[in-house]
Amino acid sequence: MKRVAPMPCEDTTERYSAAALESAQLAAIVSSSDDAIVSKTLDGIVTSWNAGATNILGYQADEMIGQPITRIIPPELHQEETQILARLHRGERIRHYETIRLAKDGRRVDISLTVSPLFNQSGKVVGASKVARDITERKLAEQALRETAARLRTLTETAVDGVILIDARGVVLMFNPACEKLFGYSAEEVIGENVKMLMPQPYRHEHDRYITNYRDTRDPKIIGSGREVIGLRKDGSTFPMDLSVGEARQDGESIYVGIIRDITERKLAEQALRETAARLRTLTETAVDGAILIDARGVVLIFNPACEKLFGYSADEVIGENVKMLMPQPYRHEHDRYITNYRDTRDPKIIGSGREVVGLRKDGSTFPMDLSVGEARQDGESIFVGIIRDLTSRKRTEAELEQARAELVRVARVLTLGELTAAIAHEVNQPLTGLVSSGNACLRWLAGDVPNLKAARESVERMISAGSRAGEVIRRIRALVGKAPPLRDRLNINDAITEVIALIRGEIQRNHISLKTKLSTDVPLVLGDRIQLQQVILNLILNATEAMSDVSPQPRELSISSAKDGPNGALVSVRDSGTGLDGTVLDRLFEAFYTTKAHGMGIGLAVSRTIIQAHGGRLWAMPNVPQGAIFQFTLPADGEEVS
Amino acid sequence: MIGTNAIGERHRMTEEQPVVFVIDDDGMVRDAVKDLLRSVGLTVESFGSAQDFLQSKRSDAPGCIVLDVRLPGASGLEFQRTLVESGIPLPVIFISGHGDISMSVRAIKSGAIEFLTKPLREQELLDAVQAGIERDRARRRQAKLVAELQERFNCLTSREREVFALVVTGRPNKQIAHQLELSEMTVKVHRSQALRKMRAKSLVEVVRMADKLGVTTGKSEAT
Repeated sequence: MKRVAPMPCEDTTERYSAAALESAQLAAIVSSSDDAIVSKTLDGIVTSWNAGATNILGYQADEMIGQPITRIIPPELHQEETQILARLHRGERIRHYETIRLAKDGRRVDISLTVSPLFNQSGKVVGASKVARDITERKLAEQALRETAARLRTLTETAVDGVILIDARGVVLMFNPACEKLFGYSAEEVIGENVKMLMPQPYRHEHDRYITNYRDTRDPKIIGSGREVIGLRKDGSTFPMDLSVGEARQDGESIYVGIIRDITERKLAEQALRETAARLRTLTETAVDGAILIDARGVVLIFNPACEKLFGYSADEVIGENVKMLMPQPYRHEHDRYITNYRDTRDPKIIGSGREVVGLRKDGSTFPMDLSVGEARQDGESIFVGIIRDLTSRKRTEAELEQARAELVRVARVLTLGELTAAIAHEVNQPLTGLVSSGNACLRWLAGDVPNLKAARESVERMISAGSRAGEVIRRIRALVGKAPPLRDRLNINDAITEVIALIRGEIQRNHISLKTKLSTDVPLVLGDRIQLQQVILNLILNATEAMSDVSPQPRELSISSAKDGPNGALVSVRDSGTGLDGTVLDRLFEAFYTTKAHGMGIGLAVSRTIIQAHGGRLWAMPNVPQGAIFQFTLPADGEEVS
Repeated sequence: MIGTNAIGERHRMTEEQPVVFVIDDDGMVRDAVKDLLRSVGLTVESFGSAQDFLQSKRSDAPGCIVLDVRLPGASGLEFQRTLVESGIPLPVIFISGHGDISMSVRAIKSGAIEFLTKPLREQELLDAVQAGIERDRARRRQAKLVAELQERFNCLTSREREVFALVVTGRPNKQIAHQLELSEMTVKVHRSQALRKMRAKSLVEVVRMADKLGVTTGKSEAT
C-alpha cells in the first residue's frame, strides 16, 4: 500500500499510536485481500488501489491513483458512477452491486461491488471506499444455468408430455404447450393459479390436503412415482391421465414437477380388451362347443361348461392338469410328442385346422369328436385353444347312412344282376326267335309238294344272320364282363379281409361290437375271385353282427383271423359271441332259403358255400365257446389249382 | 298237320284270304315271323311300330295281329286298348321276350288270343294265329249277318217293327192287337209282312234275329 486513504484520526499520541497500530493492521488486511479495495474522492478520483485491484483489473496502484475512476468503467456505464456518487453523497451504502469494469487489457470483468462512504472527523462524506469482487466465474456458472434453463424450457415447450411446475402451495409456475393442448387452457390462464383448477372432484378437494400432508409427513403418496388420475379440461370434460410427480428444492422450498400423459387411447384399448375378454368369457361359458385352453406344456387353463358336459369332468378337476387326461390311448401317449414337435418344428399338424379324434370321458367311455386347434401367443409363450364338437350323433347318422348305403348297394347288386339277366335274355332271345322261326319256315318251304327253294334259301340266310347276331350279343356280354377283374386272381386273403373290415367298420362300431383281427402273415396267396370272396367274408361278418345284436348284456366280440391251412392252404375264421347255433340249425344252415333270422332270405350262406366250393375250398360252422358261432372256410393255395 | 289244315282253309275260303299283321320293332324277329307265317300260306303284313300299323291302309279281310309286347312308345297292352277304341276288332297274339305272368294275365283278360314267349314255338304260334283268324272270321260272319238283318229290319215300316218286337216276345196276335189297339187282322198282315221282309221261316228264327239285332220290347233299334 503506497498511500493510505484519509482515515479518521485521533489527536492523542497514545491514541495515535494505538490508531497507528490499528491502521497498520488494516493496511495489511487491505493489501492481502483478494478483493479489490479502492478508495476515491467524491469527484471520482482514485485515492488508493490495493493489490487485489491490480490482480482483477491489471492496473498498478501508481497507474490509477490520482486518476478518475471512470477509467475502469465501461463507457455505457458512466451514468452508473454518477448515480453511485449521488447515493454516496447522501451517505448511503451500496451493497453487492453487480456490474462490469474494464481491465487494463480491455477485458470486461464481472464484479460485485460494495461501496461505502468515507466520513471525515466532522462526519462529512469526503470519499468512498469500494470493495469489488471478481464474479466472472459465478457469472459463467449463472450463464450455464441460464442456458440449461433455456434448454429445459425448449424441452418442456416441445415435449409431448405435459409438464407442470407448482410450488409448495400448489401454485402453478410453469405450464407447457403440451399441457395447454391437454387441458385447453393457455399457460397465462393457469400460471399463478392453484393447480387444483386442473382437477375434477374429488381430487380437487383433496389436493391441498395431499400437499400439506406431504410437507408435514414426507410420506410420498405420489411423489417419485406415477399414478392414474383424472384431468379436468377447460371445457369441463375429463380425461384419464398418467401423472408422475417429482420434487425439487428451490430456496429451501419444495417445488413439484408433474409430468402428464394422456392415456385416453390406452384406456380405450384397455376397455376394449376387457370387453373382448368378457365377451370371450361369456362366449366360452355359453358355447355349445367345448373350448379348452392349454399352455405350451399341455396344462389346461380353461375348460368351459360345454366341455364339462362332454367329458363328465368339472372344470376344477381338469384345470391345472395335463390335457392328456381327456384322451384315450394312443392319443394320450402321443400328445406330448405332438406339442414338443410343434414347438420345435412349427409344423402345424393340427394347428389351424380340424380333425377327427377320440375323446375320453371321466367314466372311461370314448366319443368321436371334431377338434380344431388355434394358437395364440401370451407373454412370448404359445397357448393353444381347442374347440371341440361332439360327433357322436353325426357319427350315428353317418353309420345309419352307411348302412342304408350298404343295403342299397346289396339290393342294387341283386337288381343289377336281375336286370342284366333280363337284358341278356332279351338280347339273346331276339336272334334266337328269328333263328327258330326262320328254321321252321325253311322246313315248311321245303316240305311242300314243290319245295320253294328260293324262299327256303332266304329263310336260311335269315337264320345265319340271326345266329351271327346272337354271337355278337355273346361277344358284347363277354366284353362287358371282361371289364371286371378276372375270375381267378392271385390274391392275399388278408388284404381282402382288411378291405371288407374297412368297408363295414362303421356298422361294427354302431353295434358296439369290439373287433379283433388276427391276420397271420404266413398265409399263402390264394387263387380266386376277390369280389366273390369278399362277398363271402362280408356275409359272414354281417351274420355275426346280426347274431350279436340281441345279446345286450354279454360282451359283443367279433374276431376275424386268418391262418395257414395245412401245407399251403388258407383258413379264415369269423367268430362271434352271438346267439349261437344249435344242432338242428347247424344241419340246415347252408340250405338255400333256410334262415333263422327275422329278416333274411336264407340265401347268404348257401351262396357263400357255393362260392367257396367253386374256389375248391370248404365252408362250415361250429359253436363258439362259451357262446356264439364260428364260421370257417378254407381255400387251396395258389399252386394247387393253377399249373 | 297244321299246314294241311291251313292250306285246306285257304282252298275253302278263297274269297276271304286272311291277313296276319306282325308288329315288332326288331326287324329280324319281324321278318322271321313273317317268313314262318308265309311258309304256311298266310298273307302277312309287317310293321315296325304300332303307329305304322294304325296309319296303314288295310284290306278288309279276316286276320289277326302278332304283337311284340315291348314296343317302343306305347306298350303292347296300351296298343290293345287303342285298337278297341279305334274300332279295329282284330284279335291280338302277344309275343314277349320274357314270361311276365301278370302282364300275360292282363293281356288275356283284355281279349288277347295268346301270350307267347320268345323264342316262339312254331306250333303255338301257328295255333294261336289260326285261332285268331277263326275268331275274326266268326266275328266277321256275325257282323255281316247282323248288318244284313239290320238292312232287312230297316225295310220294315214302323208299325211292322212294333208288331215284330212284340212277336219275338212270343205274344199271340190277339194280345198284340189289343196292346197296339189294332184289329187282330191288321196285326196278322203286319206280322206276315215283317217276317217276309226279314226272310224268317219260323218264329224261332225270328227270335234269333231279334236277339242278334238287339230288338226288345218297346225298342226298335239294333245295338
